[in-house]
Amino acid sequence: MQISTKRTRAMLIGVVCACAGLMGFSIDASAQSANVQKIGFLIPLTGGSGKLGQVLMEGSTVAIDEINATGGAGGKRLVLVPEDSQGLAKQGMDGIRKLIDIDEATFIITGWTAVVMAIAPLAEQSNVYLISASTASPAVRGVSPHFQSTWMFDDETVKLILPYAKSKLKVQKLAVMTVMTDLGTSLRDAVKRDWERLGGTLVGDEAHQQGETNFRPAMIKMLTTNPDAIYLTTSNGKQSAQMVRQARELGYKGIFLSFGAIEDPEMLTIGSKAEGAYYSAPAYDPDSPHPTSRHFVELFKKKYDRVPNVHQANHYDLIHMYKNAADALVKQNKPITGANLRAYFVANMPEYRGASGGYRFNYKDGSVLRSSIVKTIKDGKFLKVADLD
Amino acid sequence: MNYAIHILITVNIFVLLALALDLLVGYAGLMSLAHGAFFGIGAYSTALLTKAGWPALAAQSAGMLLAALLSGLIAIPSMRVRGIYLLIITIAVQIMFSVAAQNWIGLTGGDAGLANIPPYSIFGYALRGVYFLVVCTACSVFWFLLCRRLTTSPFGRLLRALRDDEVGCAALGKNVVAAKMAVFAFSAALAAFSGSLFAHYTAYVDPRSFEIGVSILVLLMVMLGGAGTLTGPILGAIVLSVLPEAFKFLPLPPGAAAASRQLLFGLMLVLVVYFRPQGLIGRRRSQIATHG
Amino acid sequence: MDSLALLFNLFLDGVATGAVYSLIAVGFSLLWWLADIQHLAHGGITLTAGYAIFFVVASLDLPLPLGIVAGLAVAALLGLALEAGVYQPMRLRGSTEMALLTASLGALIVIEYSLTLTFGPESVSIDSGSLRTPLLPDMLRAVDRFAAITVGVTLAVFAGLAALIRYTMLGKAMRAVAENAALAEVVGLRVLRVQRMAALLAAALVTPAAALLLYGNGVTPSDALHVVLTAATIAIIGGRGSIGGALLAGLLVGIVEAVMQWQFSVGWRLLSTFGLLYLLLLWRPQGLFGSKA
Repeated sequence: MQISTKRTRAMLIGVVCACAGLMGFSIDASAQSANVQKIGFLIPLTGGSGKLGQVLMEGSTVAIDEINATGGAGGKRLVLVPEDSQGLAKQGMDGIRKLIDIDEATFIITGWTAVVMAIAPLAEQSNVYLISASTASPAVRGVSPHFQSTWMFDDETVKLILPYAKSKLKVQKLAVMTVMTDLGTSLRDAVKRDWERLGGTLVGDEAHQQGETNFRPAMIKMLTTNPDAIYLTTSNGKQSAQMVRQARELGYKGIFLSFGAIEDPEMLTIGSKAEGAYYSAPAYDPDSPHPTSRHFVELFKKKYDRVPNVHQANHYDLIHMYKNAADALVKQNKPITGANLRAYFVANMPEYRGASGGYRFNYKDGSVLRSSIVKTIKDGKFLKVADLD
Repeated sequence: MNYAIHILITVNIFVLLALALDLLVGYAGLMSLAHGAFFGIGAYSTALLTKAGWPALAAQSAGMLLAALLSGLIAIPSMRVRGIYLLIITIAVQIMFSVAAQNWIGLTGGDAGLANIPPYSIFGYALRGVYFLVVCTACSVFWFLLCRRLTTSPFGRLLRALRDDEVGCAALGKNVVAAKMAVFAFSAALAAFSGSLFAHYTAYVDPRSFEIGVSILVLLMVMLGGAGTLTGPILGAIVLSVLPEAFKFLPLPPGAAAASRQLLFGLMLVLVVYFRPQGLIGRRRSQIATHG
Repeated sequence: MDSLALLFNLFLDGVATGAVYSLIAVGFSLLWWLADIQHLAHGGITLTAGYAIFFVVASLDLPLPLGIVAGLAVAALLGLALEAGVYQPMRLRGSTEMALLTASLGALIVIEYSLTLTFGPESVSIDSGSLRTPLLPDMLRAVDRFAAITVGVTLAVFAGLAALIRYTMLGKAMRAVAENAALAEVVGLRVLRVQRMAALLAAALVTPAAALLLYGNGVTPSDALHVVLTAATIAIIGGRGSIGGALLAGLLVGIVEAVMQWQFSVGWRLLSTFGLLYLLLLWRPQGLFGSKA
C-alpha cells in the first residue's frame, strides 16, 4: 500500500525531522565542558533493585562532594552521571554507549551480572574502566581486564560462612533455596560442594523463579526434612524477607544462612521473624575508629542524617580509588584512559584500606578479598557476631 | 557519531520486527504477542551457532528456520480459535520461551546469558560500526521490498480476505490452513532474522531482552504507525526507537524515567486505537477502495 | 512427614491459592460473557484495589473494613470508567476486536505503571500475623486460619453471585443480554446500562481477592499481566460465562501449580498452567462448562 497523500508523506518527514532535531538539541545541551570530568554510574535506578541503586548512589555522592570541595581529582571537578541500567543487558548497553560517546566518561561504576557481561567487551574496546561493588556472581570472574570488582564473589563467601555454621552454629542438616539466576545456581553449586566437603548432608534443594512471591509450597516441601539451616541464594532483600517470613509462618524454627545482600532494610520489616539469620559481610563497622571510616561516616551523617551502610561505604571508596589514580596519572602527564587506570591500579594498589574496610585485589581475574565478619539480625538491627578468617 | 550509529542500528532492528508483525496483525488480522520469542530464537540461535564456529549467514538461516517451525505452535491452534484465545496462546508461547531461556541453563546459559558473540561477517569480513549499519539498512530495504511484493501479490490478497472474512474464504475453497501457516512462518522467520542482527550487534544475549515487553513494544509500533500499511510500522519503529533516547536527556528524576516511558507507551496504545485506529499513516477501512 | 502427607499439604495450599484465582477469574468471565469484552485491564484493576486497601490500612492506619470499602470504590470507579469511557464508545463505533484488545492492553499498562510511579516497583503486603499459625503444626502445615478464611470468603462470594444471577432482576437482565443482546434491546432492556453494571460487578468481585493477595503474598505492579493471564486462562478452562466453571477451574489451576512442586523443578511448574490451556484449546475450546459461542 503506497503512501497516498502528500499530507501523510509530509507528516512522516516532519515526525522524523522532529525526532532528529530533538535528539540533536539534547545531545548538544549535554556537551562536555573543559574543566569537568564525568564519572559514569551505570546502576539500576528503577525496577526491583532500583531502591538499592539509589542507596548506592548516596555513598558515591558524598565522595564526589568531598573531593570537589578540596580541588577535584586530576585537576578537574567531578560530576557523577547516573544512567539507569535496570540490571538489564540492553539498558546497560544503551547507558554505557551514552556515557562513553556523549559524556566521555572513562571510569564507570557499575554492577549486576547481566549488565557487566554485556558491557565488558565494549568497555575494553573503548578503553574505559569498569569498577563494581555490586556484582557478586562468579560468572564475571575474568570477563575482562577492564573490569574489577570490589565485592567478593559469592562462591568465596560461601567458603567462609559454612565452616562457621558447622562448627559454631552446630548445623548438620542444610537445605538450599536456589533462585534461578546465574548467581543463585553458582551459589547452590558452591554450597553443595563445600558443605559435602565439610562432611555435612544437603537435605533439601528447592528452586524458584526470580520474581516469585509465593514460597509456601517450596517451604512446605523443604520442611519435611527438618533442616537445621536454610541457605538463601537470592540477592533481593524483599524476596529474602518474604521467604523468611513464610518459612516462619509455616513453623520453621531453624536458622537461615546467606551472604551480604541480605543486609537489606526489607529484612527489618518482618520484625522478630528475621532473627536467626546469619551471613558473612565485609568487615565494615560504622563505629570503627579508623580515620577514613570515621571521616566518611561523619560526612554521610551530615548530608543525609542517617548512618551509612556497607554498600554506601563501598561506593564512597570507589570514588576515592579513582581520585588516587587520576591525581597520579595527571602528575605523570598521562591521559586518564581505561588502560592507564588499570595500569595504575595494578602497579600501585594491590591493597586498599577504605571506609568500608580492607581490600586485597586480584587483578588477574577481577576478583577481590575482603576481611569478613559474621553478622546476624537481632532486635531490629544488623549486628556483628564474630570475625572470619 | 558512534551514538548516532547505535541509534540507527537499533531503529533498523525494530523496523524489521515491526514489518514482521504487520504481516500478521495488519494483513492477516491475527494479533500476536509472541514476537519477542521469535526475536529471541533468532538471537540465541546465532549466539550458539556462531560461537560454535558456524558462519554468520548459516547461523542466521538456521535461526529463521527454527522460528518458522516453532511458529507452527501458534499456527495450529489458530485454526480452531481466534481473538483472545489466540492472543493468549501467543502470550503463552512467549512466556514459555522466556521460561526456557531462563531455566535451560545448559543450552542458554540461563540468566548469565551468552557473551562474546562474534560480529556479523560476510565472506570473512567482520562488520562493525558504520559498516554494520550499512548492512542493516540494506537488509531493512530488502525485507521491506519483499514484504511489499508479498502483500500486493495474490497471497497478500488472500491474507486480507482471511482477515475480513475467514469463513467466506474457506467456503470459496481457499486453503486457509496453508495460508495461516505460511504467514506465521514468514513473520516468525523475519523476526528471527532481526534477532540475529541484534545478537551480533550487542555481542551478548540474555533472557531479559526477549520478554513480553518487546512484543508489546513492537505491537505499539505497528498500531501507532498504522497496521496493514508496511510503511506505517516503519514510521512507528522509528518514532518509538528514537523517542526513549530523547527522553534520556530530559531532566527527569532517575526513578521516574523508565516507568513514565512505559506509561506513555500504554497511553499511546489506548489513544491511537481510540481516536485513530488506522494509525498515523493508515487510511480508514471505509475509505479503502475495494481493490486496496 | 512422609510423601503422601506432603502431597496432601501441597494440595490444601493449592486450594487456598486457587480460591483467590477463582475470585479474580469470575469477574473476567462475566464481562466476557456479557459484553464480549476481553478485559485485559482486569489485572490492573485487581492490583489497584489491593493498593487502595494497602494505602488505607498501612499508610493511613485505618481499620480493615474501611480499606475494603476504599478498594471497592476504587475498583468500581476504574472498571466503570474503562467500560463507559473506552470500551462502550469503541464498540458503538464498530471497532474491531483487535482494537478493543489493544485498548485493553494499553489500559493495563497505564494502570501498572501508574501504580509503579505512585508506590514503587516492589511488592507491598500486610502481615497477617497470627492468622498464619498452622492449626496442626508438623502434620498439616498448610492449614491455618488465613487459608480457612480464604476458602470461606470465596465460597460466600460465589454463592452470592450465583444467587444474584439466578434470582434478581439484574441477573435475569444480564442473562438475557448475554443470550442475545439485540433481542434484549428490542424487549426493552437497556443493554448499555446492563453492561455497565456488569463492569461494576466484575470490579467489585476482585476486591476480596485483592485483600487476600495483599495479606498473603503481596501485590506487585508487575504482576498485572500475569494476574489477568491466569484469570483469562481459568475463564477459558472453566468456560465462558460459567460461574461454577470459574470456581472449579481456578481451584484446579491452583492445585496443579502447588502439587507440581512435589516432583517437578521450577521451570516445569510454570509451563503446567499453559500446557493445560494449550491442550484444552486444541481439544475443547469452549472449556469445561461453557457453551459453544
